Amino acid sequence: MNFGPLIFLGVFFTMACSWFGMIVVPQLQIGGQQPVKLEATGQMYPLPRAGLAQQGAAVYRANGCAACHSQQVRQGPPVFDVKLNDLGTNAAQVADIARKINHAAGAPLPGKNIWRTPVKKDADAAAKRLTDAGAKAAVVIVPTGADIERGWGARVSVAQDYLYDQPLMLGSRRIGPDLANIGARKPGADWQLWHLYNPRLITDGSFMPAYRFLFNEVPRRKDAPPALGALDKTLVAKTFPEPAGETVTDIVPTAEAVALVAYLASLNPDAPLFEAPAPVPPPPAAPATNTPAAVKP
Amino acid sequence: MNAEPQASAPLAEAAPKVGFAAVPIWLIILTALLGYRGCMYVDQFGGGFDPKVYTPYASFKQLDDLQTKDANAEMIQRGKRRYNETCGQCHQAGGLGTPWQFPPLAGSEWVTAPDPARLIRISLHAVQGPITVNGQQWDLIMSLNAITLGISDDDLAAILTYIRQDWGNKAPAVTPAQIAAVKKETGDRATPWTAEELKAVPLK
Repeated sequence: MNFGPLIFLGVFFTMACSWFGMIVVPQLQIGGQQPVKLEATGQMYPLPRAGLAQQGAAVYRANGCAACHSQQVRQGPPVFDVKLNDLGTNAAQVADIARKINHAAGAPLPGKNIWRTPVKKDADAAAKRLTDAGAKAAVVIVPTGADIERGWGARVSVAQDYLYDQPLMLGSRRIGPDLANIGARKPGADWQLWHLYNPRLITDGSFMPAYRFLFNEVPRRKDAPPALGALDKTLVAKTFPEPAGETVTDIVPTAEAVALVAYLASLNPDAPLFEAPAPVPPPPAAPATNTPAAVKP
Repeated sequence: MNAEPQASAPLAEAAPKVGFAAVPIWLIILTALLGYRGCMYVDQFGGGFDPKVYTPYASFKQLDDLQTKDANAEMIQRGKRRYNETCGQCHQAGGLGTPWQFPPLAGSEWVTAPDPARLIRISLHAVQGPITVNGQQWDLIMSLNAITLGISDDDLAAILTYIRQDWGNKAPAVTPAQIAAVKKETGDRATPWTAEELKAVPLK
């Protein structure tokens, strides 16, 4: 018997279903997504990466970083902090209400969170009681979850975060830590460069491969000036001691390494979005420097 | 050689045949149960197929409730609406009043005083008689007030916050607690205030 047409129809139907469900529907849902204007700062989000960071994304891709590092943060249900910004004129009454809310001894301090609850309605009610007494109180949404407790991100990753990424390097395995907000987590380009040159110099017991081919090793006489663009060795003074002989080796990052670090520094999706509410991030600190004091290995 | 065909004859009879067999009933039930569970799961965690809804959020409405809303802006919006329904009939939508009939609220020192104690009294019980507003002499009979209109403390606080923070006025917001406090102080007063009485009210 000839079942050819039936088998063809079965296969066609199966493929059409998955094509429709995995290509057409997502395309209809998020295919037309546009940058949005952030209410907190008035900036557009996301902004395209700077040119050097875009080159770095290609280096990231070429070296297969996404095989071991994911770039997506997962999140559990949020909790709500009642934050007391200002005690107002009626401090005694506010303190009394705050004590009734959190059952804690001692007067509440302005600028501190006084209560945490998983129910938004309760937090709103508590904030209203404080506001009615003349204080300035606000409810702050705090995402929870294992990833966020590790400091890997401020909130769940959403499609908006990857609007300008092509190809999307989400990664599926976490052999190394998630890199979604690596730009905010590790301050200083120097740290990143040394870590790429040899992760063991910075993090003891790291099993990340060393990307020494992204660096030039330039030997020089000990009394000669260091090579142009050589990495500052104070950060790794303990783990990478100077040899005793006449010559030392300077580590000079190639353009690829610099671009990769620029890409890593650009990774920090922390803007509060409608679909991913989060506390408004503090304004960016002064640009990261190469001083060892700012580096926490 | 002769024995071979005899041996293979039963094999030929046992060869598989093309045909149809009924699907076992347990397989149908299992498929139905799995399908049911799948639908329940999608219903529970699918977020209504809304592209804005990501795990752990369940629905657009839940996300909408989570948005940090500016309480002051909402209050002013509500105050504006209630003002236009009541006070704005005389004092006008722009707060400029009507010359020789209704005094202006925009820029008025009675409205923008840092302590709203006198403003709350005016809005609660009205004001009557000669009064100076923006350096101009008025002789008023204010016909409406919050108590006869039955405006709640919350709404009155919103209205007063609105008139203190729009049209270029920049004064601190009024809270329902302040209004309740003034109501307590004035007791069951029903007569309008005069400018002299109001000036006797201490400002913090």
